[in-house]
Parts: sequence; structure tokens; C-alpha cells
Amino acid sequence: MKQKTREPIMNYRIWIGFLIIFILLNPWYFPSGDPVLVYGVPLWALVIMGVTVVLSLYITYVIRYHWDVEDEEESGEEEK
Amino acid sequence: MELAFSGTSGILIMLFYGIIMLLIGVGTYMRNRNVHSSLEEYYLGGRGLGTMVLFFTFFATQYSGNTVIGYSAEAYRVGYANLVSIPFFIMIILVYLLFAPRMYKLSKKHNIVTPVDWLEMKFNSKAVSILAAIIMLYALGNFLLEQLIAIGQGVAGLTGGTVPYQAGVIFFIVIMVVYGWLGGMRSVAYTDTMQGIALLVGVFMLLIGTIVYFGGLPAAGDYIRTYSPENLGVPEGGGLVRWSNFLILVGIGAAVYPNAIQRIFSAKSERALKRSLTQMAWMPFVTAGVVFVIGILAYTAFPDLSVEESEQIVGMMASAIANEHIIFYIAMVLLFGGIIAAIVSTADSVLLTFSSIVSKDIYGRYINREASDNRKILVGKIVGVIAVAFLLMIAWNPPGTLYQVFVLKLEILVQVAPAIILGLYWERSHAKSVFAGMLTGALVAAIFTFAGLTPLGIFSGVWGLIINLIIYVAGSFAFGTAPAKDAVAQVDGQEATQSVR
Repeated sequence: MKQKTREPIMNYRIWIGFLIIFILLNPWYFPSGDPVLVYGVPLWALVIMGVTVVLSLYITYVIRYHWDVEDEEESGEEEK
Repeated sequence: MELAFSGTSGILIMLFYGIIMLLIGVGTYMRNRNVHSSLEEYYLGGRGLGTMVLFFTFFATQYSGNTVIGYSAEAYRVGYANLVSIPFFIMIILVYLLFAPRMYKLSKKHNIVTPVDWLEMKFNSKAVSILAAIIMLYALGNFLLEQLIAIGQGVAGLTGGTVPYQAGVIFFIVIMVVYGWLGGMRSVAYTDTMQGIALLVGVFMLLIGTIVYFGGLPAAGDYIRTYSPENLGVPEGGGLVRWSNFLILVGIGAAVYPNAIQRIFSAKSERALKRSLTQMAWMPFVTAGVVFVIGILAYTAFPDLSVEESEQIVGMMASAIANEHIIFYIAMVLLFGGIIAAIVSTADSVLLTFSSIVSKDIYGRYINREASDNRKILVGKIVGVIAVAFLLMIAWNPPGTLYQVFVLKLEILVQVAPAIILGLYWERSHAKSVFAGMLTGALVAAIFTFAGLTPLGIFSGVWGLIINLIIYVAGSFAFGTAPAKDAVAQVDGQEATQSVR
């Protein structure tokens, strides 16, 4: 039925999540100076990579559970 | 240094890849002979691309050989500050979430073929449609030029000059035009699949070879600390602003690439689109991420290169590794072809979209409304070839480094984003304000770029976008009326709005 239609943009809560991730995606919260290296990689870079993984996970979640706008009759011909 | 692919082997590898692309193009044409019967068949592959092909065509459109050659050189030069290239590719998918779901649905319902079609339907304004078409054609032309230069440099660089720049460009352009001409979107998408696989495998093998022969990240970390410790530091001040600007500009700009949007239209089903976008959200780690690591690892192999020399870093590393072991030699053949193929595959989708805008939005809408689809396609193809010929002349004398060219086109293109995305949801959008915003934004972006102005460290494209949005929003509040001009668009908008609650 139509009520089941879900469009990411219409759910503001999703975008609060994205905003938080976006803020953390910018490396403003690290001390300046000589960085700590973990196996040759600066710690700040590892943390940013961690946040980047969270971003991809979150996108996967939103696509999976918050995007469903195709009409009933059209979804019938979907591929396997 | 002696390059592994100079001489005959370089020429053979090039011919081999060229012939495979051509065969895929001919094969696709044989299977779909009615491809020239309608614009949808030719430009959107009959809206029938399934998950895998759709994924690879998104992939090949977004990641070019540039990503491999230019980004690893950039990572080598600026170090960890270039890590931003991984999240900015993911930001593109985030921006898709803003508009792809509704855009897909509308395109299917109203037979939309190009992004300008959508603007025409929404705003019903000649000014908006023509300006958007011009901006898109300009950005696409610039993008195509960049790919042409990259093909030439890639071929010349990887073969150590055995195959001259001009010969490399001409050879691959002819092949690209032939298979694109024959099969349209289907040929482009199928060759994208082959090109994407070659690139992925090749890049991975380069990474493995680099680690085996030159050492991993810990060794590279020591080298960087010795030679250029600033490359390990966290971006601060201007570097931080640059970082966030990249996330915004690339995220929005690359998502509204007309050729990327057309891939949304080409999806077979919503499910196929969702699946391929999910996969795309993870690709930056294995593409931009691997390329970044290769640039960092290059310190161990070549710790002290000039800017000029660093542009060739991938070719030098591939050569060094290929000379070590036969397995890596074969793998580097794959990489070599993969890089060239990736450039060709980005160029082909740009050219196809360029032609589609000429066919549908310029010729079909304003010059000859009565023309058959077949004729519109023909006009698009011919203008496309003329554009390629014109760009080739410029490509003979390529400007600056690749990276700077890349930023220039996004600055302009991103100005169509408000109309495309906000137009989907805001009924009050006022056509004249949309036009004024887009025009002012584009002019500001262009003037700031050419004058080298970045007030507050913010990119010219982002300034243009801010001014564009202010004019769009303020104008629409002042002059716009809630009921849309286009009844159909309104129905769609309300339907979606109401049903979500």
C-alpha cells in the first residue's frame, strides 16, 4: 500500500545522523603537532577512517530500510 | 629508468584492450539491433540495466584512470591530508539519497531521458532549461577534455613514450566512438563492466607488489617522518577548510553529473538501483583507499621526487614491480590496460550524455521538434564527434596538472544542483529565481576560479552555490506560489509527501 512508501529525505531523523557523521568526518578535533603513529599511520587518520566506515554503514542501513518508493505494480516485475 | 612496457609489449597490450572493447561494442549491437529506434533505448539502455551492470557503470563513471594516476600522485605530494579522497567519494552516495529515490520514480513515470528533461518538466522555463543545458555541456566538455588528456598521458607514460601521446589518444577515441555509436548506453555499460574489473584487479596487484617489494605502511611512515613530516600532520586552518570544502563540493558536484544522473534513469528496477548504490557506498575503500595507500607507500620506493616527477609515480611503481616477477608483470599488464580502460570508460559515458543533451534538449526541443528519435540520435552523435574533434585540438597542448582541471568543472556544474534537487521537493520554487540563482552562482564560481579568489579559504564553487541558493530561496519566497505550474509534478510531489508520514 501507499503508506509503506519510504523516502529518505522525508525522515528528518536520518539527516540528524548524517549531520553528526559529517561533523566527525572533518578532522577538527585532533591536537596539532607531531601525530601519534600506529603501525606507521597517524592516529587521526585511523579515527577518520573509522568514521568513514560508519558513514558507509549508515548509508547501507538507510538504503536498506528507509527507501521504498516504487509502486506496487512496478515492484512485481523486479528482478530476482 | 627502463619501463617494463616500453617497446612492442606496450603496443600489443594497447591493441589487445582496444580490440576487446570493440568486440563488446559490436556484440552488444548484434544483440540489440533496435537500439537506434528510440532515445530511451540508445541513451538509457532501454531502462533495463540490472544490479551488476548498473553497479559497474556507476563505478566506471565515477572512477577514472585519473583516480589512480592523479590521486596517488596527490597522496604522495600532500600525504595524509589527501585521505579526504575516500570519504568524498562516499559523500556522493549520500547526496544521491537526497534525490535518487524520487528522481528514479519520476523518470520512469514521465519518460525522462536527461536531467534537463526533468528541469523542463518542473519549471517549464526555456531560460532554466537552456542555461542548465549549457552549464552541463560545458562541464561535460571539460570533463571529456580531461579524459582525453589522461588517455594520452597514460598511454605515453606507461609505455615510456613508445606509443606517442597523440597516437594513444586517437586510437582509443576512435574505438570509443565506434562502440558508443553502435550500441549506445548498453555498449557503454558492458564495456564499463570489463574495464572496471581490469582496473580493480590491477590496482590490487599493484598494492600487493608494492608491499612485497617496498614494504608496508610502517616503513612508509618512517620515511615520511624523515623526508616530509608535515605530510603526517592533521589538516588545520586552511587545510581543514579545504577538507570540508572537498567533501561538500565533490559530494554534491559529482552526484549531479548528468552522466551519473542518467544512470539512475537506466536502472531496471528500484531494487537494482538500491543494490548498486549500496555497493558503491563501499567502493571508495577499495579504490580511492587503495590508490591513496599506494601513493603513501611510494615514499619508500621513491622518497624524494619533484612535483613533475611525482605525476608519473604509478607508472614508475608499476614498472619497478613488473620487472621483479613474471606474476607481477602480468598483473601490471592488467593494471596498465585497466587504467587506460577506466579513462576510456569515463570518457564514453560523458560523451554519451553530452550527445543525449544535444539530441533531446537542444535539437529535439528547440531546433526540430518534429524529428524522429532516430534523427535526434544521429544529430547527437554527429555533434558529439565534432565536440570530440574540437577537444582533441585542445588536448594536444594540455594545460597544468590534471587535478586543477578537475576542480574547475565541478565549480560550474554544482550550480545546477539546487534546481535539480530542491526543485524535486519545493513546490514554491520560482522559475525566474532559479534561473537568476543558477546564472549568478555560475558567474561567481567562474570569476572566482579564474581570478584565483578563495575568500575565507572557501572554494569558488561553494561561494557560487551559497549565492545561488540565497537567490533561489529568497526569490521563491518573494515571488513563488505554492501550487506548481506543472500539475503532474505537483501530484507526484504530494503523493510522496503525504504517504511518508
